[in-house]
Amino acid sequence: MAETFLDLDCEVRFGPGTVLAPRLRIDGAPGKITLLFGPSGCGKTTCLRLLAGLLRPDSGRVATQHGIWSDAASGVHLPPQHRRIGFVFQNYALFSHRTVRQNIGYALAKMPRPERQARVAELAALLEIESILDHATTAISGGQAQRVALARALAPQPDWLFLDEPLSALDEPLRQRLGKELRERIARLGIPTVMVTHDRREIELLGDELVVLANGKVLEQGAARELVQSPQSTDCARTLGFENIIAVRSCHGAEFNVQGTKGEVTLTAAPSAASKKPTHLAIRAEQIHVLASDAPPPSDSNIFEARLEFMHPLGPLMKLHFFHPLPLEVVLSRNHPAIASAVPGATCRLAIPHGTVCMTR
Amino acid sequence: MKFFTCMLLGLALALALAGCSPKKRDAGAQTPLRVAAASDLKFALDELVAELRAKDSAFVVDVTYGSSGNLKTQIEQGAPFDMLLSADLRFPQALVKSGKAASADLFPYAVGRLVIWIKKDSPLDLANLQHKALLDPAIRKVAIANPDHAPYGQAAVAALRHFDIHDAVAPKFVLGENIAQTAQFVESGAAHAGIIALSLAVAPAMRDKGRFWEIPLNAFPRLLQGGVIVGATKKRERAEQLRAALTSRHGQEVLRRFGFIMPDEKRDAAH
Amino acid sequence: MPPIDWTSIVLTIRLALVTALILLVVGMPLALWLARTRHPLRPAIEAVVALPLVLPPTVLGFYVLLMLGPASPLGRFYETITGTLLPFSFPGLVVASVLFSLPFAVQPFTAAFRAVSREMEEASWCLGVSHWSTFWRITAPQSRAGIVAGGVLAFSHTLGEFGVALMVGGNIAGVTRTVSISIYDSVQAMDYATAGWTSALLLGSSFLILLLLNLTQRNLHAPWLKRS
Repeated sequence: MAETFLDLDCEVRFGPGTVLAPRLRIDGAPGKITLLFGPSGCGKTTCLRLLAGLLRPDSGRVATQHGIWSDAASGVHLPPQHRRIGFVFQNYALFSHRTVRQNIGYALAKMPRPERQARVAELAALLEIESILDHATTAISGGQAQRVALARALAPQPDWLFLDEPLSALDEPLRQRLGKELRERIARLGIPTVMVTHDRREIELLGDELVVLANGKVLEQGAARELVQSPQSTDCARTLGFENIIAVRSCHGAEFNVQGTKGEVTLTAAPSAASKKPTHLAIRAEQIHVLASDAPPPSDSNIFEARLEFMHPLGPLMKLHFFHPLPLEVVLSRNHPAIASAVPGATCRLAIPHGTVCMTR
Repeated sequence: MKFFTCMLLGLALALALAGCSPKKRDAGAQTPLRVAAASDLKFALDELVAELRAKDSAFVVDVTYGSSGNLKTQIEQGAPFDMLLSADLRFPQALVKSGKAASADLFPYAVGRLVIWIKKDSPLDLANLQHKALLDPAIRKVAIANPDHAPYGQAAVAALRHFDIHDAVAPKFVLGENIAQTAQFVESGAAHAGIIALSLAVAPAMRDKGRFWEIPLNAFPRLLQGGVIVGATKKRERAEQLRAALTSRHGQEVLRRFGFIMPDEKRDAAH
Repeated sequence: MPPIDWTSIVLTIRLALVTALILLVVGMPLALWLARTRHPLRPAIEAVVALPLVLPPTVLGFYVLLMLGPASPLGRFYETITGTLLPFSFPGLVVASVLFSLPFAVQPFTAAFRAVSREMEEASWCLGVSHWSTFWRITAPQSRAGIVAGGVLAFSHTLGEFGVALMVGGNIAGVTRTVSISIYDSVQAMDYATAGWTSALLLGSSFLILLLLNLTQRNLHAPWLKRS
């Protein structure tokens, strides 16, 4: 069976000094969601637009198993009309002068009427928007609009589904629910999907494959769950939100000497780290434990006493900043027992499990 | 797609409207005789044309009145007039010179007369002051036809120079695009006095609204009114009919009634 | 029956209708290009389109006469095809009107096209619809209000045409004597009755057209508001 893929290797110039040069390959297994993740301006939407054919590369090419979609050198450019893709825009771009039903059936104008109506009904049932089919697009909620946009994009049975930040226009509780539903629907439909997001929570919710971008370049690509826990590059770790990134001075096997505030500190990582030669260690704030004074220290962890400098709330969580012996950030739930005794200047016992120490270059 | 078909229909309609014109049925007896005439002929010619139409309902004449000089220029640029009736014979002569008409088709038909006209309620004693009335400070604006292209305007300037008051009156000038507009300026009160054609001063529209004093014929070069049949005309027969009507005894009578004198008369008209 | 010069009114309406329709067909592609392009010549072309707004009509008429006259290549071409001259004819007047009212149509068109959501057009393309179809199914309906406004403005503006018509048309009854020239003629002939009635008619109809436009614009902007 021929493999379905998208191959992107381009350069796009946006005025003096701003160049985006992404290079990635997306595997099109049925129902597989590839996330393009990164901060604003990193080029992830540009990638999506290049893949869709809404943007022409200044150099390089876009290719699939069928052939070349864009090639700057030879001037070939297959327009979006012929790429058999479904695109859902960030603000949905519903046609405001048409009803929901007409929006969904828009791509099917050449189909005979009964078939078209059947298909629209099928999609409306799938996405649970039957009740609003005859509404104007301005008279529906954000969540409904997202589903209409999805139905519209899916109507012509595209080979790929492209989603540009599909959840960002929604508020928090809706986002969780719709994210889950989106995941299920894509799996059920079996359509390979590329999705752009800047929200870390969506990686866990929706990602199979993750592509991390920054400054117009792809930093790393890999299975989402693994990449999120163990990125290989320091920049990637930073982009993925690792709060603690510590420079390494020297290493002995799985032990690493890092510069603390008052002399060197040794941190031990998991035994498999022995062969690696990282420049930095990255540790997530939520994976550092604060131990109660009488608790037995866990094995397989780095333990030390640290002095709390200050703390501040972060929604349902609390963030603690330590300075000695290492500048560290720790995130705890507000109900955590240690919070009661945590005051600035107090000493806490911290435990960093070996397995959570990530080695990056 | 509906929008698109609407647009196509609209375009078809536009082209149809633009192209087909009921008047385009060319050279047929249906099209009117198109005459370019000096504005001073307005009332006299209207009457003649109406008489001709009454006698023969198929004889339709469309007159465009204006300044003789402008009309001549338009004919030179191809304006589709069949005849030019000018307040100064030299404009038809110019048409002959530029090849637009044959000299055999030139004909004079009248001599124009000039008057100073003031509104009825003006306190000035025009009969006694005569041309000096224009110097009165109560007359702040004096309307004349534009001397650049209107024969009556050129005659007015010549007359004022003859009386040696041109420089004193010139600052008060208000220029009419043609002699009819000049008359309208004074009639409406926009100008306090005007030098206009006698043919307009005696016309019904102006007759009871003011008083006038005729400028002696020797004060300005003779305003020999003449016409010419344009060479490119497709209605030669009708044009000749109109010419005949203008120069006939009856035509001359009508013209006289409107204050013109005939080219062969030499008298200086009494006022 | 009040003394009204019906011939010139019918002629002027015909002229305004033809001009508006031609401007719809010619003006929309131009406006679309102006709205979308980033070509360096765009500001220059926009300035040229706006010229009739600031040029005195007589200046415009002068140049149109030069452009269409028997000495010009365009004039000579027309003469060889039809045997008649463009100046002093209805088609010549149409050309002058189209130029005279050009910005009144193109500027509202351009503004309307610019306001259409780019994403909607892109969504249409991604759904497999060609650029041409996308224009008719998305861009034009979305900018309907602006298109209608431009068309009506061009129509109304042409109704009042005087200076250009006089220069290029030559005031020939039934062919190029527009209603405003007719009124001017009546005043010169001191026929105030005809001038007054015809002017009143022109004033009244212009007002009605604009009133109708305003009333229908609300519907064009948001026909769906009627539902809720």
